[in-house]
Amino acid sequence: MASLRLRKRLLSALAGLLAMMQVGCGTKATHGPDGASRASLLSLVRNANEPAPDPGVQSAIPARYGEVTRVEGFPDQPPFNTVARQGHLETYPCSQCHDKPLAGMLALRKKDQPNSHWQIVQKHAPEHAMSCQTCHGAGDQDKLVTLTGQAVSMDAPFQVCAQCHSTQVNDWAGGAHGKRLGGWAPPRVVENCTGCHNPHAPAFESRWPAVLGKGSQNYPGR
Amino acid sequence: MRMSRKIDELVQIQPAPAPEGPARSGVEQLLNMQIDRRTAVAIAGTALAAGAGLLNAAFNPFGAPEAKEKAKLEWAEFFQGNFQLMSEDEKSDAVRRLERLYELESGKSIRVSADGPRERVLYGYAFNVSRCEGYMDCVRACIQENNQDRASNMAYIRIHEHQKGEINFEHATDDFYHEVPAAGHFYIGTQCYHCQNPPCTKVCPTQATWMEPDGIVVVDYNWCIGCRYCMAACPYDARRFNWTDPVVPEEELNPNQHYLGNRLRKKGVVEKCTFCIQRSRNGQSPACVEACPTGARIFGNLLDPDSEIRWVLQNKKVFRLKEDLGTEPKFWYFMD
Repeated sequence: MASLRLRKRLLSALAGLLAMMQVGCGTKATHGPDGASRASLLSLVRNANEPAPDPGVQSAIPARYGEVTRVEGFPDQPPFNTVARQGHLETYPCSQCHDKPLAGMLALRKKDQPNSHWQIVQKHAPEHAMSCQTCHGAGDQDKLVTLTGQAVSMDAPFQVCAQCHSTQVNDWAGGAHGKRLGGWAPPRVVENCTGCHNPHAPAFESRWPAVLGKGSQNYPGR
Repeated sequence: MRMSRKIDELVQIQPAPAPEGPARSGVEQLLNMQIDRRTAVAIAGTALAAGAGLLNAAFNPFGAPEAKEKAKLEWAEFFQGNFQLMSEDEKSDAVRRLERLYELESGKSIRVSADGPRERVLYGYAFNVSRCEGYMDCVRACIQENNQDRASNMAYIRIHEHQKGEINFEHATDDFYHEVPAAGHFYIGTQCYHCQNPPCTKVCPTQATWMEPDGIVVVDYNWCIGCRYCMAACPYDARRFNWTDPVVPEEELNPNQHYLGNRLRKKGVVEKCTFCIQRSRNGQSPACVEACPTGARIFGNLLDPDSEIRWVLQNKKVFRLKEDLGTEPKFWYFMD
């Protein structure tokens, strides 16, 4: 008799628990972070495949960047613009001094005076992998060269960089690497490789942060 | 009909019995006046008008006309509606008031905009964890652009220094101050993610915060009562509270402002990143994106298939923080 009552109680408790779980599931489905809106952001983005309408505003890059050149030919990538580098080079055109082939220039060296371009230290790759001529060639100094000796404009250094850093240059063309100038609105203008990286020492240097951290002795209120 | 009559009867003030003894004072006369409902309403209305008049009159005899104008503007500002319910005229009145008030206070002019969202634009953001070096140029640009309180060192952006090998914010620090990048460390910036399913806006008792059609989560600082429910609801610690009156040196003030963005705040209100609404609705990128020297920050229109942000989402292994909460941040992280 007692055991029957116990079993009855146990059963009813179990039923109650089940009912509570049901209610629990119910609330989860209707309230809380609802699955409907999760699907909506991703599908919203995925389904937005029509070219965006003209946003009615135009990006403008600051005047200090000067001229831009058009970049085409990246697969699945609409043409975009990058900063033309020639206007930013201090002594361009190089042929102002380099009026003869490199061998002739080297003959002009004076033993007791520093070499021209003495200040440039190559911190890009080991010396056995890379020398000045890997990018500058031995011929026309107004142009860069590829590994196969083809001339490349100083405005398009990405063509030279891409020979080794193809992932980075692809990311750059797509928008995951590098820096967009102006705003998000068209036209798209991005910084050129050598606008951010010194090609002779491309790694970014360490420096102090732009704002004081709380760990600083000079942090206000410390 | 029956109901209203009943209320009429209830409201009807019964004539007080005439007191005996000495003559009554003016106040007593007023208090004991025989009065019906209609007269009571009329008197209340007159009193309210007189109160408003008093406020102005207080400035009348001694104050300059500027002080009078300022009082009027502040009075009007106090009673303005929630931005979401304002008509275009009311919006432009509200921003003109802010411009004039600042001019009266400082003698300098600012430009406050109430520009609305652009069509078929949904802003999104991506952060390249591999590229961030911890320089914090973004933080400085953000503070300057958004007129944040200098006294309390308010900053919307935090840069967390992580030890290489794990992403664990509990083991990361955001108070470092040494040369960066530190060996063996990497950096992750956090800020408001402008969730598509924002928990912060749902808890606001005055509907002072909401998501705009272009996806930006904004605050109407005039309607914020400072309860900070939104701060408790945000899983990302993205909101900041003004414990004191914000201090922005006049020479550092950014005069290009938006009603829902970087206009000057008051004590006791919550504020947050607005993707620099004053810039982004103008086609510009947020100040942090522009300031970043390494290009770790990417911003654009999620609904434009040719945008950089879309390229990142389609070609990189992206992740978001606390994705399991279903908040749907429009802010993705990725690595090279």
